[in-house]
Amino acid sequence: MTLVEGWRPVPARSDAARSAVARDADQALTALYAEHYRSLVRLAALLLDDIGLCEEVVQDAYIRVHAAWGRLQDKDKALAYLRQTVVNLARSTLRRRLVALKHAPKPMPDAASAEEGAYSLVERAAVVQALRELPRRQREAVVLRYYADMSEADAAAVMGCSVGSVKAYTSRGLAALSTKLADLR
Amino acid sequence: MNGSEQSQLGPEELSRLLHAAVEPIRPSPEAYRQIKAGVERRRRWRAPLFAAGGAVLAGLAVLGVLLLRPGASSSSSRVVEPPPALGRSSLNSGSPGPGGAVSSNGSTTVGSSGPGASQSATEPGITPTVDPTSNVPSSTSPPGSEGNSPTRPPLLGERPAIAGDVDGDGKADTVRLNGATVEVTRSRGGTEVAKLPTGATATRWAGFDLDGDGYSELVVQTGSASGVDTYAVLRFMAPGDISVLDNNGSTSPVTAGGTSSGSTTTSTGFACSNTGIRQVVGTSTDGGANYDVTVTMLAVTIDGLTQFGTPSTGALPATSATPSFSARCGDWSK
Repeated sequence: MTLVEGWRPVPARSDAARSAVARDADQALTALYAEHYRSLVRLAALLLDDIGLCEEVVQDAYIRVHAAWGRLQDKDKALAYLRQTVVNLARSTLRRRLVALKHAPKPMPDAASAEEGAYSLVERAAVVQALRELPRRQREAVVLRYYADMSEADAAAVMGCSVGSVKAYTSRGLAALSTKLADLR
Repeated sequence: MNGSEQSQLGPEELSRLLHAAVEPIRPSPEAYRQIKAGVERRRRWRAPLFAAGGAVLAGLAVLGVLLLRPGASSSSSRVVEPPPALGRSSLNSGSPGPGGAVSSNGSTTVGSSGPGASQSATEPGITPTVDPTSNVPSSTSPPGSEGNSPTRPPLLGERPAIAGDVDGDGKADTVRLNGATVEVTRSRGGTEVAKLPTGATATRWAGFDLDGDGYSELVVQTGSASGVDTYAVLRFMAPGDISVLDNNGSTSPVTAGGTSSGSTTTSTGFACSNTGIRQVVGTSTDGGANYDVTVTMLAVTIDGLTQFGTPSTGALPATSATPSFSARCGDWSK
């Protein structure tokens, strides 16, 4: 698992310092929520097979970042850390789902809501369908580069691989998507 | 599908497609509240978890201390186990004190004048009706008898010690009585002088391991008044320290002898053993023909003499009772 730069354990603090950190973390959480929550949910939606889980994953990422706020040295990189956590959680969710699918197929949620409608709209989008057929790493590379607009270096850091690998995954993913989407264009 | 007609999907177009695809997603209005709830849940769990972790650590520390501390209550916690060969060789090498022999039942008898003259403390002085061993099982160890003072030199001799082996090296030590003081020259080296209580004059002494810990105690007669002899018990505490043990404030706790007033005769005596002193008090109201006898066991501990077990009583004829009205503690030396 890759660590965001500037993410290092720091010595324990006094109680006063700790409560100051907690206040700071609460404010930062609110700001990060207002600014990035929607885009992170959309990022998760592209990374995950099950769109119903994307909000859950992103909320979990926010909670984790809040808990680790005192240990985060470079607060400006909070967004990078959030993205990293979302990617990692999406990976482990996929892994869990694979295991679950092997043993017992999960029944589809039957509750109908406004979100459901939006989700089914997304599910039906051709690009999303095509994306789901890509191998996980190609999909991550494509999404991070072309949806999150991350540089190759940033994407490599988040994915935990080299810049060269990101380039290869991206071009292969792009080619595969071209083939899959050719009929629709 | 015709691959040759197909143009490569451009990055800008893909980016546009991706953004468009996820455009319908609207965060649920509950999201912020759910994050806050998650943060709170985590916070609530942290304090009890830290507290539980602290409690577990404290418990482990206490456990570690208990395990590492030499347990005073454990009988296997003696600092040094006596090497048997050493103790026996000292018996044969003619140690400076009175010659000793270890009888088969483990009690120490002192004296070289033959078994007939042996004053074994376990010799039944009175009939079994009042024998304390019937009421006080030998397995009942006297309180504190295991308390081995950590400041004593390590035990080299046997348990129980031979008579007069004050410092536990398997060799009897030299005791000299000098008025109100008792001088002990130990075979390990070092001389201790114990002061007897005011008014006492040491007249004779016997060495006996009264608590069976391998260090001999000294029983010293401190005086005699109207037919009753008083005795003090001295214990080796540490190099340079041999102290008189007291029994509820009395520094001459054990007595032997008898007094009569009219037809009432009170006689006392005691016997030494490796579990303590058996003090016998007999009262006769018929001129000494029959006695009501009370036997009390006194344990010898670092804190003094302590009564243990329940005193046993019984009525005995003079022929049975009289032998116990004496000071039986091995061989007495002047």
